[in-house]
Amino acid sequence: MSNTTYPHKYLYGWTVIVTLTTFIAGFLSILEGARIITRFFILPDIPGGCILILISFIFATAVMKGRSDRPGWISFSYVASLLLLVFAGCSVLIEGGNVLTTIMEGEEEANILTILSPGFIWAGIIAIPLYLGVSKLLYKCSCRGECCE
Amino acid sequence: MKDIRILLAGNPNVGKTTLFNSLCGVHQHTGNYPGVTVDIKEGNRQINDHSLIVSDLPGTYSLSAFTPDEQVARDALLTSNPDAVVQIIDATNIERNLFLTTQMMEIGIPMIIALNMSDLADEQGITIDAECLEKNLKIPVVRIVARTGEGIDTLVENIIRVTGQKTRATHKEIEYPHSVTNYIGEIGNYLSSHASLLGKLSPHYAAIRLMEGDEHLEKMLHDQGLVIPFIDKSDPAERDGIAEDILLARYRTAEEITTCAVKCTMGQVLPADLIDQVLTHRFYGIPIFLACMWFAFQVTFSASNPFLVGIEYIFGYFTELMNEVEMDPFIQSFLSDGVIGGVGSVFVFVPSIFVMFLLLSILEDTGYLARAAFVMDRLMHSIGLHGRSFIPFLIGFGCNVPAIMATRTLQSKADRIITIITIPFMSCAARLPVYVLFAGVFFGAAAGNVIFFLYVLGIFVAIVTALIFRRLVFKDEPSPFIMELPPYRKPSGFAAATHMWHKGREYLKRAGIVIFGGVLLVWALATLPAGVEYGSVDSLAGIIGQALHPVFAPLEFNWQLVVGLIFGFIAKEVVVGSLGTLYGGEEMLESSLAADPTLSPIIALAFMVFVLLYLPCVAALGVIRQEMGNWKWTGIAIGWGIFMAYIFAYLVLHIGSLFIGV
Repeated sequence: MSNTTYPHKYLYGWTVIVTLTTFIAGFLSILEGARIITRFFILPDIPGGCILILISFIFATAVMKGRSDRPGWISFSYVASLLLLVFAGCSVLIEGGNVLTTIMEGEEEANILTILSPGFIWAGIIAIPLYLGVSKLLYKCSCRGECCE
Repeated sequence: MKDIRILLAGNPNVGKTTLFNSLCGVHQHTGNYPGVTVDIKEGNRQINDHSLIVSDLPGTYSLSAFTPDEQVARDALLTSNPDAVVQIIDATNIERNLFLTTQMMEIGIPMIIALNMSDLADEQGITIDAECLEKNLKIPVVRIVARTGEGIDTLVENIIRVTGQKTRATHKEIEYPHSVTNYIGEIGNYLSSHASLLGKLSPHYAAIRLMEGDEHLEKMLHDQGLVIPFIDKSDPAERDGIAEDILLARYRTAEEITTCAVKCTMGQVLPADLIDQVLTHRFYGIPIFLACMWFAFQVTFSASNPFLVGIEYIFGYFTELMNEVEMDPFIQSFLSDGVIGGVGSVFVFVPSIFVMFLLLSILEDTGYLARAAFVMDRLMHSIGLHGRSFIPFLIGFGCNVPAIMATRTLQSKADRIITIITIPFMSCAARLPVYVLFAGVFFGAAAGNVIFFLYVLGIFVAIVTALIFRRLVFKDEPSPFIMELPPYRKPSGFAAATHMWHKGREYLKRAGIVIFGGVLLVWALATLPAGVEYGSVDSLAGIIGQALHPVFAPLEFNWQLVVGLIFGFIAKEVVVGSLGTLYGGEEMLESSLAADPTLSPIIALAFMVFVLLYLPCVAALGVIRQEMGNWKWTGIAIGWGIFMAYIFAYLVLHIGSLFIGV
C-alpha cells in the first residue's frame, strides 16, 4: 500500500518518526552508559537503552506491516507506543525516587532535572500523538472484518 | 435461623472468588488468570433469618476432572449435597460456559446462574436476553458485576427463593440421540435397584456419567462389587461413540441457547487478538516480558527508597531516644538492639514490599501475566516443564506457599513434582529486604539491575533444575498446554491498592509475630552468656556462627552472615532482622555492613544468591511436604536447594570477581 492512498498517511508517517526517535534514544542511552559519549542530556542506561531499541524494532515491524496489513500496523504501533508511555511513566518514578532519596540523604549533587533525562521520556513524548491516533483506530477493530476502515 | 449451603461453581477465571468476597465480605485473593483457587474456601453471610454458608470451588471446564483442583470441584458438586449451586458465567463468553451448565443441571441440584462481568459484555457490544436464557434453561438468571457488587442483592434473593422451593429442581433436559437415551434408560433402571451404592447421585445422572466415561464413578461401583452389564461387555469403540454423542448433544444445546439469547453488535473495547499478536509474538513476546519485569524491579527499588530513608530516620530517632534514657543496660540492649535494631531493620523494607505487590497486582489485573505464561510455554516445554507451571512461578514471586498449592492445576504428577521443586527458586517477597539492603549498600545506583539479575537467576536455576529432573528422573514428555487467555482489562486502582494492602498487611503480621520472635531469639543468643560483649564471637550466636563458619568458608561468608542464614530458615525476613541485631541496630546496619572489612560487593552478591536459592521458609516446607505427600521428595527438594545455592554462590564468587573485583 502506497502512502498516497493510505487513509491515515500522517499517522503512518509519524510511526516512522517515532521509530527513528526511539532507536536514537536507545542508542544514545547505551553509548552514554558505556561512557563512549557524555555530551547529551540523556540518562546513561544500558539495559534501558536495550529496551528502547527493542521497542524501536516493534515500531519498525509496524512500519513494515503497514504497507500491506493495516490491522498489523495498528496493533504493533499501539502496543509499542503503549509500552513506551508506560515505561516513560516508570522512568519518572524511578528517577523521581532517586532524586528524592539523594535530597533526603542531604547529598549536594541532587539535580531535579535528571528526572527528565531518561530516553523513554523523550521518545514517549514524540509517541503520544501516535498512541492517541492508533488507539482510536484499534477500538474500531473490535468489529472484526470491518477493521480500521 | 435457617442455614442455606450454596456452592459457587464455574469455569476458571469467571470471577467466582470475586463473588465469594462480595457475598461474604472477605478478601480472598483473586486474579485475572485461571487457577487462582485450588481448594474450597468457605464463608458465610447472615440475611434476615437466613445464614448463607458459601463454598467457593476451584474452576473447572467440565465435570470430567483431570487435575487435582478440578477433582475437588467435581467431588463437591457430586457428593456434598448443597441446597443450591450458583454457577458463575462469564457474560462475554456464554457459549463456552454453558457446557458446564449442561452437565451440572443434570445433577438435579437447584441452580442459579450469575451472569458476571455484564458491564464488560455491554462494553463489547454483547446484548444478552437474560429472560430467554432463563426460559430455555429453566434456571433463574441474574446479571451481576461481582467486582462492584451490582446485582448481588438480587442474586441473594433468588438463592433464598430457589432453596425455599419444596419441589425437586427440574431444569432443561438435554436432547440426546435416541440410541443414547435408550442406553441411559436401561442403565438408569439397572442402577435404581442399587441406589444405595450411588451415594447422592440419582440413577439417571449416574447412568449419564457412566456413558460419558466417568472412570472415577465406574471404579467406585466396581470396588463395591457392582457389575454393569453394558459397561463391562460393550465394545470400547461403541462406548467412545456414545460418549461423543453425549458431548455433541451438550455442545449443540449450548449453541442453541446462545444463538437465542446473545446478540453481538460493534463494541467499545480493545480487540484482544490484535494486541496478543504483539505481546505473544514469537520473537518479541519474551523480551517484552523481561522488559516489564526489569521496570517492575527498578520501580520497586527506586520509588520505595525515599520512604525507606524516611522510616530509617524515624527508627534512628527512637534509637537515639532510647540511648539517652537512663535504664538497666540489659533492658536498653533489648529495646535498642533487639526490638528497634532487629524488627526495625525488617520494617524498613515494608515500602518495597508494598510497591512490588502493587506492580504485580497491576500486571495481573490487566491480563498480561496470563500472556506471559503463554509466551513462556515454548521455553517451558523445551526444558521439560508444563506451560501452566509458569503460573505457579509467577505466584511464587509473591509468596512460595500459595505457588506450591497452585501446582494442583497440573495434571501430571511428574509435572507437579518438578514444579514444586523449582518454585522455591522463584524469589518471594520475603527475600526482597535482603536484596534491597545488600544491593543498596554494595551496588549503589546499579542496585535495581542487581535485583533484576537475582530474579532472572532464580528462573535460570529453575530451568536447569527442571532440565536435570526431566532428563534423569521423569523421562516422559510434559502434557500439552491449553490455557484460556483472559480478556484485557484496565487495572482498577482500588483493586490493586486493596491487593497491595492485604499482601503488605500479611508481611507486617509476619514481621510482628514470626520475625519478632526470630529476631528476639537472635538477640538473646547475641547477649548470652551473661557478661560477654554483645554480638561478639564469645556470645552464643558467635559460637554457633563460628562453629558453622568452616562450612561457609569457601563462600567467604563471615559468622554474622552464617547466623543470618541459619535463622532465615524461620522466615527469610529474619536474615535482615538477625543482621540488624548483630550489627548493632537498624540505624547502624548499612554503615556497619559497608565498613565491615570481611565483606565486599562480590561476597554480598554471593550471599544474595545463597539467600535466593538455599531453603524455603518453614511454612513453604510444610506445604511442600503436604503437596508431595511424602518426606522423600520433600527431602530431595531441601537438599537440592542447598546444593544449588552452594554451587551458584561459589560460581558467582569466583567468576563474578573477574568482572566486579573483590
